[in-house]
Amino acid sequence: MAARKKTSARKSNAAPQSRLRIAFSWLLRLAIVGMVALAVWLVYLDAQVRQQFDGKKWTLPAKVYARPLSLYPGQLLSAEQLQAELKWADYRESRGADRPGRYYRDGNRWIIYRRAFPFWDGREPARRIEVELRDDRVYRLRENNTDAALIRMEPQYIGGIFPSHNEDRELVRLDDVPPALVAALIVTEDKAFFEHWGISFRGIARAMVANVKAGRFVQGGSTLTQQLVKNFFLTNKRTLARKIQEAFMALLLELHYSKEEILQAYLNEVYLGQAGRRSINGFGLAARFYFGKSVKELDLGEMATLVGLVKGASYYNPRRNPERAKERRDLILGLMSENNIISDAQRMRAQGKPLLTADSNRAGQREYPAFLELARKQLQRDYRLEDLQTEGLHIFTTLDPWMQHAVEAAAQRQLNALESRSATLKNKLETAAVITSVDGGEVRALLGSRRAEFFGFNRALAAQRAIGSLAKPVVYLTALESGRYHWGSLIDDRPVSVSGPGGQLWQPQNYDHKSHGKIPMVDGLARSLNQATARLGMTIGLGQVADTFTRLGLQADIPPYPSILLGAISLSPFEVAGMYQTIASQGFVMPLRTIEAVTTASGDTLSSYSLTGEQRFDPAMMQWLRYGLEQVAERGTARRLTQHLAAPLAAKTGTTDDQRDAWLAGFDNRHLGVIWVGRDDNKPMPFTGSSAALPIWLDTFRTAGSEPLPAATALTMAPVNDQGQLVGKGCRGTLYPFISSRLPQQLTECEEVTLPEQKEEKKSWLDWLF
Amino acid sequence: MARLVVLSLLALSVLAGCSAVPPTPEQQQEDVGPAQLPHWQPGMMGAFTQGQHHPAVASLFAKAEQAREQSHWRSAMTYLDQARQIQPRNPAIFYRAAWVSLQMGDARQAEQLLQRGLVFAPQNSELSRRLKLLLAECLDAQGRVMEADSLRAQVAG
Repeated sequence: MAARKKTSARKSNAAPQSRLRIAFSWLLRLAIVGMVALAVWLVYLDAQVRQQFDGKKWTLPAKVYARPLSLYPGQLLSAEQLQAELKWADYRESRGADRPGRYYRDGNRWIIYRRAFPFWDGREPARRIEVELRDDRVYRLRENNTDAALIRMEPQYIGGIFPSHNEDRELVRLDDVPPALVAALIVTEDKAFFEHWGISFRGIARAMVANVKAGRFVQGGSTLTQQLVKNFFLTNKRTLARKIQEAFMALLLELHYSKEEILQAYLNEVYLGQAGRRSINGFGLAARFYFGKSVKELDLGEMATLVGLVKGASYYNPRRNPERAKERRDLILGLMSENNIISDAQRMRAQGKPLLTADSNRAGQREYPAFLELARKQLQRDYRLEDLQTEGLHIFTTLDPWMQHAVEAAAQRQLNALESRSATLKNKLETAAVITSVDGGEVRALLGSRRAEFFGFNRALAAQRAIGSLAKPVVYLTALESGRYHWGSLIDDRPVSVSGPGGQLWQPQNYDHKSHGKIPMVDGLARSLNQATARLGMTIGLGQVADTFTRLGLQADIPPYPSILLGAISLSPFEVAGMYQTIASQGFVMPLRTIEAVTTASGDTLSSYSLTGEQRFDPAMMQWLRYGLEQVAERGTARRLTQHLAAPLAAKTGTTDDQRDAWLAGFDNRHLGVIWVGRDDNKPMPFTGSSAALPIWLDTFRTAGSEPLPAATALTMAPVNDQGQLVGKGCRGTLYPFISSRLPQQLTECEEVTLPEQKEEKKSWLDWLF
Repeated sequence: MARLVVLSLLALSVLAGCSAVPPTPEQQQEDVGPAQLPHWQPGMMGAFTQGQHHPAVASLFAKAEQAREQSHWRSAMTYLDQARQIQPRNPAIFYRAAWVSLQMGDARQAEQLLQRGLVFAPQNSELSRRLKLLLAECLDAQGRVMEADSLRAQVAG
């Protein structure tokens, strides 16, 4: 029994032992499996860390620039414009202009220390130049006391083409960052940075103590390496698993890379603010964004302010929360002094300075959404969107910031003035504008909304609105080209009635609801008479008019309906500009262009673009048409233009049915401008093209500068008698222009002469109808 | 006498002041003639820098010439297009740009650039004659031989 007991006792002792052994063996197995899994995971993490850190660390959005301001003797340039362009490019006035980014003005004489810049045709070093302005022109340009022929200012940044996360950054090398900034970052965020292996137990313990003492989260224990890992590889989720992963990755990062490499990555990665949709990352861009300077140029207070943002870019934003930001700045300056980064005197001086930031809406940092959208569309013909969003390309465009600001300000002022006339109109009016260069079709300004910085519906490109009387020049051009009409030909302004399909009658009326009888053709255009134009268009043929629309470069389908004569065609302001561009350029059909060149991040040119197009019309014919448009601006519906600007100017107003759309398309010697005003809900307005769109055009050109059109060299003035017939020189009659090369040679003195083509003219069937 | 001297000096200084005013690019653009075109014979063109030009345009022609010497056609075109933006109606710029286009194998665009140059060249002038001779070359390059011959005949006539 005893033996059995003994045996059973042994058995009962052996059982727990064997269970223990089994448990131990399972634990061991589990541990081995765990170790293997951990090893596999670590290998995976290691691969991830190395792959991402060795390769391209960041997707760099394309940086888009405006046109550079070219300076050369004789160039039109007012002091106001030069001052504005310098301000927008973050130039500071300082006596002597002793370093890049500074200028000094002494009356008409300006000394500008232009910064170095990688232009699309080569990198240019910083240059100290002297510009003398006289009578709104560059009178003299000098560099190193010798005359210079041409110097470009660096172009302004006007926006980026961002991937969906909208991160933007300006990459900096560690060598470019002032040592005081780096030191301030380390003493503030991770004092033991150069001692730990990626994680700091001392830091964690210190943070825990601080948090327990405060009863809430006041301090993090993350090292700079951990912060970098969190931002660079991981999401923002706060879980234990993610924290463990972060720690391992930090260790792996430290294992493979030097402290300097990690620090440089951190300086470029860290989130430091938000500008609309754009996320400001890295100290390079933050310096530019908050202070309008490169990171090298920061003073001690500015460095401390930026370092302060690491803890909370929104909370310590120096623009929105200046007091908090100043407090934090001063705290960091104190830490810098305690750690002998700066002297006590330096700390006191820096703390004594107010917190000054550059205006966040200044031209150099704000974006131009309407123009950017067009530029992106045009770029996507040659580039993949993904490359534009990630490769850090530099895009040089045609945007003229001076013109853009002029049109934006004009739209603001004039729409406010219009809305002030009626309480029900408040914030109801919208606008769009396209400004191009007359000869090259370069888009100089684009406005897609009255809120110029709004990334939304771009009316300049996407709004399809009836063009109304903007179609009339096309009718008159067709008439002139037919050879049967000149500007003095008499045309009939009587009621018109055309039956359309389904028996509908088209009976256009004049704006004043009157008929004016026989009028010289030029009056039909200058006074924008609907009846006269409709009759003329029906006589020369709808097919011909539709064909002229197409030849002018319009790609939209133009159905040969009578209503097209008075502009029952829906087009975007951009399409209208394309059509008028052909008229303004004397018949050269060309694409409206936003891109000058594209370079890689390192400055190699990928593409450059130059003038392309087709001379599709006889330039003399376009000068002849221009005479009619000059009369619109001289004495017709747009006469207010020449009351304020030097003539001749060419223009046409447009107003659609029930005054739903107001247009003005016009050009001077340098620029073409198309302005649209209307309501998004397409409801009528108590305004016409003359009263709503014209003031914006006028205001824009007054601010930006206007040059009258040159004389029409292909035309000769000749008298036309009361019957609208060309008569010999010296005869009584009204003088009208004719294309010199087409004037009949055999003109008898004071004898009525009929143009050869007019002999062949037969009465249209329409004359029998009306 | 003293008054006369003072007045003369004043008049001279005013004149000197006037003559020192740099010509505007627009004024110089108006005066472009055949002397501003490089020498040309079929297949060969003289240096882009030949002729008197507005200093800004001349400096860009010099850069374009350097690019041309290295057969960097795109680069040459970039400089010429910058010159065109300074003097958008200067036929001498279109002439050079058309020649570069031709070297780049784009005879169609070269033709259009010359047509554009002709818009700003006085009719029946030596300048327009020179533009047309190059235009005939562009037509030849497109296989439009009859049009080219007829243009040459027109120029010769």
